[in-house]
Amino acid sequence: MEVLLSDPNLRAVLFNVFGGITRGDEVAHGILTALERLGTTLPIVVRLDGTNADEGRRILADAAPPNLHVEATMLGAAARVVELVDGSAA
Amino acid sequence: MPIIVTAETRLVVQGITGREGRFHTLRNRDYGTAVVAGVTPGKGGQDVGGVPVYDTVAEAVAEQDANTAMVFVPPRFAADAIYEAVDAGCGTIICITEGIPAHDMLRIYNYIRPRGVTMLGPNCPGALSPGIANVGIIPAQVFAAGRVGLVSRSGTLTYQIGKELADLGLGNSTIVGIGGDPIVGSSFIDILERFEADPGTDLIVMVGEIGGDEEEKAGAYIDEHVSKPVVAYIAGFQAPAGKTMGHAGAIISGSSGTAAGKQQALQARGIPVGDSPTAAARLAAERLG
Repeated sequence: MEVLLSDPNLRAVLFNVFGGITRGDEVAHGILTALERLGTTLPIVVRLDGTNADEGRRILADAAPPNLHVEATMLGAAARVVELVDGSAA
Repeated sequence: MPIIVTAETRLVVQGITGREGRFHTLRNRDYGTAVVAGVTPGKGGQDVGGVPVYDTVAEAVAEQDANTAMVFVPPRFAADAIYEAVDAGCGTIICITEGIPAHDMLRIYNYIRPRGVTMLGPNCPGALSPGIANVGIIPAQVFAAGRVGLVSRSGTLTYQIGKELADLGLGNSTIVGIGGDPIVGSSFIDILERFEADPGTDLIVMVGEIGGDEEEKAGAYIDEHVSKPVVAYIAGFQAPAGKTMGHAGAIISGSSGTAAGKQQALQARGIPVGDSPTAAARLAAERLG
């Protein structure tokens, strides 16, 4: 996230995770830690599925930072991030 | 009827006491897989959630009749673990470990093949026969039981297509991850041959990606030897040349190994190629009517 956010042209971040060995709860904690530490206000769209995905989505819903958008599907998440970026176009 | 991972599978997990080994062993057992033993040298006599741990695979085979080994051993020690499983008599070896040196795999490949051992991986998600057994890290809850065989170089893409198939009301006979490394134990052709022979499989979905020429070889094989319908998906149409994309084996070298080249080679053989996981699942549904 630090590397991504160092790009001044960045307008949004999309996480698309369908975890096998990757666990959804760990991804959720990682995203929240990154947001807390880096303090970005850019839109973050997250799609979580697979191993421990329910738990991960619950963790994100409980914390609910204002710039975090959780989507259920890959195509839904892609559409959402495009919409958010279009909406912010200068 | 499933392939590779079946009701007869009796699993020994090498590296069972590590963090990932323990977690996925217990998930596999909860799914219904007969997980009969684990191996970690020096930890014989312990247990992991009730699964007995042995010092050697030979002991696990002698005591628990294990016939399939799953390898969660770190890359530096994984080659030895695989030789040990072969020498102990395991006929099927599923290697999850990523990062095994290619030179180790060259030697392993030439050790397993003449001995008739079936190996999946390394760097693979394992195999799942829905409702019967799961060996590896595949999130089984997204797959339904059915008659579509799925073979893939990529874990996540497999999960995505499995979910899309399930959303369309289609299930799988077996999902087979062959792994994302340049040298793997089983090729697309090895698995296609088994799905062709499997009376429980009506259609095969093949999920390839950039790098190498296994998809092209599979296309030629399908043309001559596979009577069942096959549909494909190839990942990496936007991939730049000369860069590994997530897997060590996923790299376009010069002008070879591109997604477009693979798509053309397959389509020339009459094998439809979806341009997204969703499209590939729809092609499968159309073919099955």
